[in-house]
Amino acid sequence: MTALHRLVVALVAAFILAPIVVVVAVSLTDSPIPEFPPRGLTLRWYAHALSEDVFTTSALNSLWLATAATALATPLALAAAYGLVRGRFRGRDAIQTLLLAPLVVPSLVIGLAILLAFSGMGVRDVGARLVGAHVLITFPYMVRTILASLARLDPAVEEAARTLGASALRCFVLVTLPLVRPGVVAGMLFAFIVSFDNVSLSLFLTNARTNTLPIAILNYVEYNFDPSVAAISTMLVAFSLGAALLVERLVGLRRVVGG
Amino acid sequence: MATVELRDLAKSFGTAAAVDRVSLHVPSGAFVTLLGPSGCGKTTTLRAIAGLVEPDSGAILLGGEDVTRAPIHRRDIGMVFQSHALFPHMTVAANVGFGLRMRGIGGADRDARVREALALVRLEAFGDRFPAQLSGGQQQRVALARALVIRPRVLLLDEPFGALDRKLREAMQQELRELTRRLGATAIFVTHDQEEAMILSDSVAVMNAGRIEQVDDPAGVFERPRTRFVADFMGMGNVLAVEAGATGSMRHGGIELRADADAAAPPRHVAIRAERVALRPATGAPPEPNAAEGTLLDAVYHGSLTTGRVRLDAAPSTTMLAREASATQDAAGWRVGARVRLSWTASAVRMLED
Repeated sequence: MTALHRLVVALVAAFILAPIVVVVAVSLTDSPIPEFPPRGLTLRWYAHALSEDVFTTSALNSLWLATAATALATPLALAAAYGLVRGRFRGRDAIQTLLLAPLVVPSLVIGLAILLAFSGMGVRDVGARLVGAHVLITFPYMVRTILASLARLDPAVEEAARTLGASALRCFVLVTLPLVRPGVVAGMLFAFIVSFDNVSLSLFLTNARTNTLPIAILNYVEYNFDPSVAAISTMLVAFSLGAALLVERLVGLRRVVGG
Repeated sequence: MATVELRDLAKSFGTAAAVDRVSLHVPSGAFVTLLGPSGCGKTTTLRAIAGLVEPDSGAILLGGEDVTRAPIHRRDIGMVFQSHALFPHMTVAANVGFGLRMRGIGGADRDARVREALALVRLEAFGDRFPAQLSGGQQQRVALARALVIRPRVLLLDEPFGALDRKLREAMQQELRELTRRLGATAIFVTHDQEEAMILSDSVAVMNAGRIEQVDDPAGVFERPRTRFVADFMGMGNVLAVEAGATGSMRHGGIELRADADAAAPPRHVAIRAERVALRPATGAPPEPNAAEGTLLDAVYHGSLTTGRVRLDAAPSTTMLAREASATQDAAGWRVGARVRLSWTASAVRMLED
């Protein structure tokens, strides 16, 4: 690596990381308003954030929602990806494009569409609405990562299992699934983070009593302006980073992202 | 092991016929090769036997039992793929034991049979390794052990040595030949390599455009091709268009050819293997059957053999090939541009069907 090369990499990294650094720094400030550079050093905003009911209940909601959405989207995405890779039928490319559409369509549009659809169908329960919507937006991420894993799997490996006496189901469980596990685990992680961080869909579907964490943060900053928002944001970043590191340890993020 | 019988097997992909009414009988314990260029239907035929491709019509019988519509996993076949297709997440022993596990065979019985199968391919010490830790040849031997350990009714091999280098391929061919002979295994082998087909097989089925053109023992397809395609594919060297001549002879341009067999109908083509054409200095003697004079265009040395290309005086648009051992005095003395005389025996002239 040349010196110039290294400089460019450092600048890009700084550009990407700067906002996070600022948020982390602000969360530690000892002043009653967000200030950068921070004045003094304290953890009291963390304590404050964790003592606020709006944050803790909504955080639990978000955890529950992300878990449910991921759990439901996983088998659906596995089935869809498997069909797309191994199946031979008309309109396969069109379906593949359609499945990835939620990545392209602005999520505000999707949120509005889902709100209208659920109202039309008479789905009133906020939890059901949120889970349904989050399955929809996490699904394409999972399909993508699983597709990438499946595409690297030699079909002859599955055929060998079948000729050796494995039924289609046993072949899938004993051979296919273990071999695409990195893609599935990565897809689940992406799905979890996408759901956990989502604002634009949840905005349409939550109400005053049932909230997700990102919406709670958004509401909080409308009326309050103290560094506890920075504290809760820092915890969010740490949480996502921890999850990514976990995947890196379990399956290797490089393999997942397609190195 | 069992017999394999194909009856009028047919399979199309879209409008293209991949397999076109193929019938074949493989006796128990025989080693049969499906030989042909890519796209000739040999792999589709093999995959149909395995159940990986569903035929449009026709029947497949294993040991007399109709398995045409039987699911893949109930056919009791052992298959070896070109890409070896080992399970990368399982050890060598688990790979070999997979088929036994699927059959509910466990414990000491399974371990003993896995050890026995690994011993067959001389990999006893490798049971705890993973496939990625083995060389290409070792991986293919594991695949072979995995297919054999279930004592299949038939062993199917789809160009299993295609990815190996020449030396290793020859060693594996030798090993496979010995192994199948020793076990009395019925085997169907797919390849596009005619040399490989001849080394391994009791009988060779040459395929073209979805059909079997000829089934014969290796010497049969090599020396006595029945059709133009087989003659060409088996590298006869000389395939000449002929017209009926006087009293049972045939003519190619100004050259008279005689065969020692009678054809039902006058053939339109004959084949003469290049190795059976003698190339000598021209004598200027008057024309006679099964001989022609011409000019040596070039001599291509390919190791143990040298091939001469000759333009014939009596058929100037034709070049004939003559091939001799490079070590002989004659081939060593071939001079490009020289006047030469080609001659061959009547037994070398093969009359072909179209």
